[in-house]
Amino acid sequence: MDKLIDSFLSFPSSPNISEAELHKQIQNHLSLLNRTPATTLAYQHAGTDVLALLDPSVNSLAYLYVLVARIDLGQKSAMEVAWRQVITFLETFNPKQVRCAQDIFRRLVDSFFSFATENGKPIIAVRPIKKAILRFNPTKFSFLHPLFLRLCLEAKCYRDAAAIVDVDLVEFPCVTTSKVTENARVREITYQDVLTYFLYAGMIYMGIKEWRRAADYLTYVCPAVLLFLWMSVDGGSKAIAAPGSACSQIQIDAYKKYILVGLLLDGKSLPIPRSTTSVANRAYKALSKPYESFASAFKAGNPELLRTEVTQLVDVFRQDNNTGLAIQCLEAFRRMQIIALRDTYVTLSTEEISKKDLEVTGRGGDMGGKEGTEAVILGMIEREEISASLSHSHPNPEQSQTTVHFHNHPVDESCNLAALQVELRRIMTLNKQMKTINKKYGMSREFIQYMVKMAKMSGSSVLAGMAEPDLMDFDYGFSWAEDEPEEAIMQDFEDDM
Amino acid sequence: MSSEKGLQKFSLAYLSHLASSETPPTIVEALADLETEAALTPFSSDSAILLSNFYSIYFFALFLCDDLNEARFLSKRIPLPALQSDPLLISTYTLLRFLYTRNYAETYTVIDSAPWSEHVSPLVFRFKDYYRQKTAVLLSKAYSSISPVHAAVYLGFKGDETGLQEYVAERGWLLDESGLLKPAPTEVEEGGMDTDAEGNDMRIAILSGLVTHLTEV
Repeated sequence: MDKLIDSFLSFPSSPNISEAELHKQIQNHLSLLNRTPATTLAYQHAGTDVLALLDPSVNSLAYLYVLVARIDLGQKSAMEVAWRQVITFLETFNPKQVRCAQDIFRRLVDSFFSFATENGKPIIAVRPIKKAILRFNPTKFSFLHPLFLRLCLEAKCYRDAAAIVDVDLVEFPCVTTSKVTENARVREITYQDVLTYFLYAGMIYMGIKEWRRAADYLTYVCPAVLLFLWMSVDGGSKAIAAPGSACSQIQIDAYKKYILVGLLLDGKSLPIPRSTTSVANRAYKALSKPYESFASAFKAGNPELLRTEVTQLVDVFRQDNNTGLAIQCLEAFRRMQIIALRDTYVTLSTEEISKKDLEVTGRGGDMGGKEGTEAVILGMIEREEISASLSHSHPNPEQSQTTVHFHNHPVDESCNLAALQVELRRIMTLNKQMKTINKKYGMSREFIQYMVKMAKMSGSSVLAGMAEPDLMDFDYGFSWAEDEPEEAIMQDFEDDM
Repeated sequence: MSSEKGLQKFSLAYLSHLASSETPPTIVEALADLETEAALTPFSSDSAILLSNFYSIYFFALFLCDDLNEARFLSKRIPLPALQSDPLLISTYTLLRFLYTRNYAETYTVIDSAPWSEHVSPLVFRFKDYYRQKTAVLLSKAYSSISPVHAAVYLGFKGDETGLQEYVAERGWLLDESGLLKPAPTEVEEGGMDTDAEGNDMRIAILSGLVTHLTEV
């Protein structure tokens, strides 16, 4: 055993070795770890805990294998002892090493996830898994993404979740022939995982009331707009459109939320993207009829009609877990009706606005009165939903009347400018990422094989096919295929998780 | 290792240090890391002081970050019996409800009268100043004229006319002949259309970055 521990501690041989040397050492180290029986890895030797001797940030692979061996042999009781070490590992591991043992890593994370949720303490896993995602490439989708958002939703940790969903995903994993045959236990990421992630992300944004982002994420789930270039096992490639012509329950749930988010965002149902098939479109409409009629009543702007509609739909919203969203829609109704008054009036007193009886939440009290209306308008000005100003007519509140002056100029130019700058930065980053990905996937063995196959089918040469701007919009020449050895290309391709 | 460090940091002394000398985002990050320890510590007579101070400081740091949503979710992460029985947590939770429902009058009443602990007090003072200043900026933007009685409610000077007059005078607000306050326009803050040299340089840098990017696309 001492010899084994010495081997663990002697990897990597130095912190400053080259990438190629590190890769070679990782393969040798993995070979040793895979050969070692779990019982040898798991138990203490001569009263010494192996994990106490290992540094998870340096000896990540050995630390990971020992943890997983203990969990495999000891089941739940082992996790009760080891969960703090799992947290330490997730917060400090070396991503270069762990990338090479993803199946083992996934077993560890799955066990930790089950332990945290089954014990009713999902929060213990939230921060460690967030840090693990950030240690890898957070712009590339991994099995950690949907798992993390589910934890956040269960633990109600929306701030942590927002830090991850704010990072735009630009890449989805590929399943290569070699990986599958080397280790049959690797569970592939399916498009349902991706759909689930988008639905969860939409729910996170709903929680923090960022309706635009919520609508964006739900848009990815609802229609058949997702197109993944999914490298299949046989080395070819196939495009998977989600969901095709049928609708999954995930998508129906997403569509119902999508309608309510649309009301909160624009006061009307957002359009279903054109890429949705007519069959799916009809299914959505049929399965979401109550929501469609709620949206129609909202859009009609008649408070009485909306109250009647809500009374009939209370149970539907409750069954679908959409009560919170529906209540927010009712709150938004008054705000949107106040905004609509701007088209007719230049000034209006809060008393006159309150007489229009726009309060439909049924909360009673002073909510619908002139003071409640003034508070609502003040909130709207603070959130920059409306460009208006208020004025009191008398220093004595008993005799004072509050007048609202609607302004024509946009809310605040400086805010618009700041928002524009944020969007520009986001687009510039996305553009750079897309260029990198184009280059990376264009140089992959699978893509080249696909191009060769396509060229053979069409009877033209490979280069002729590659030169098609629609197929391959690169900003570099074609000399790369001859210049670089194939292994270097593959290494780059598998570089990150 | 971090969880071992977490155990050491999960103490009143550390919380006190955070509350008195760190910025709100730093406090939020530090406490989010310690929340696992807090969630695993059962509420008992021994742990009540530590836990109530922990959560109370966490709430105030979120208030100072303008993240009322997360504060609301934090209240759902705390065991309900603790939220309903501990005096410090009751006060903090009541304050959250008033902030969330924009009840200005009650917000200041809770801030001024609740039994805050010595560990939380520095953040309570910071928050009161911050909230008052933020509200003054909002009133300047929202009101062309406002009655002093309303302004006193919004700014936490109910029954303190002198205090209100001094506070608004510092901000250039005027009292007109009819007895109404005329809020002065607020200065544009960071990220806005400022005209100083640094702001111009920043905008030129952003513009040139955009142009460079467009030429590359």
